[in-house]
Amino acid sequence: MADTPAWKEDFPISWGDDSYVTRRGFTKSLVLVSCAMPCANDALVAREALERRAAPASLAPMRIGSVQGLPIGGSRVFEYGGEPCLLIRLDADRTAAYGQKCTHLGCPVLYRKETKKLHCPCHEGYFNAEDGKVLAGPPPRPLPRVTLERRGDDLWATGMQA
Amino acid sequence: MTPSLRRRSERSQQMTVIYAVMVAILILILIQFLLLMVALEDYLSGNRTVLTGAAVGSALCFAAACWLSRYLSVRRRG
Repeated sequence: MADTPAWKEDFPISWGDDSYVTRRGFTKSLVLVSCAMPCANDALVAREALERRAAPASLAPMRIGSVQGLPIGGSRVFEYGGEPCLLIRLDADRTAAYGQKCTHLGCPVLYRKETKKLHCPCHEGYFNAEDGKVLAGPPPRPLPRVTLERRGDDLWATGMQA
Repeated sequence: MTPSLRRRSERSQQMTVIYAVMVAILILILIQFLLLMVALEDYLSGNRTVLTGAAVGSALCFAAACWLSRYLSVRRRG
C-alpha cells in the first residue's frame, strides 16, 4: 500500500472503469435509439394533421397584380392560400400560375424563359409551363394549378386545382 | 463436464444470446430508419399516403426491440 499515492484513496474510480460500456448497457442505448424513430414518425403525422386542420376549406379570390406589370416571358412569385405560387406570362395574352413547390420533395420550381419550362434545380425535374405536367425527372405529379381570372388589367387568383 | 467447463460453456452461450439480440435490434433500427426516410419523402412530396403506416411499423419495431431487451434482462435474472 506504500506505493499507492494518497490522492488515489480520495478518487477510487479509474477513468477506464468510468467510461466502460457493457454489452447490456449498449443494448439499452440501442433500444433508446429505436424509441426515437417512432417519435420522429409520429411528429411527421402530427405535423401533417395540424397542416390539414389549418388549411382553409375554400380559397377566397385574391388580386395578384396587373398583367402589364409583368413582361412577356417573365414570372413572379406570390403567396396564395399560405402556399408560394408562381405566375408566368407565357405571351401577350396568356398567363398561367402554379404552386411553386415541386411535387417530388417540395423544392421551389423556377421558370426558364428560354425553354418555356418550369425547372426544379434540386433533382432536375421539369414541368411544362403551359399545363404544369411533368416533362422529365422524378416528380410524380403535375404542379397544382392556380385558376386565374382577368378583371380589367388585373389578374386574380380564384382557386387551386391539384 | 467439469464445473469450470460448464461455466465457460454457459458464458459462451450467454454471449451468443447477447450478440444475437444486439444484431436483431440493430436490424430493427435499420428498418425503422428506412421507414422514417420513406415517411419523410412522402411528407415532403405532399403525397401523404404512407405516413400513418410508417409510424405504426416503426412503433411495432420499437415494441420488438423492447421485447428483445426485456428477454435479455429476464434471462440474466433467470
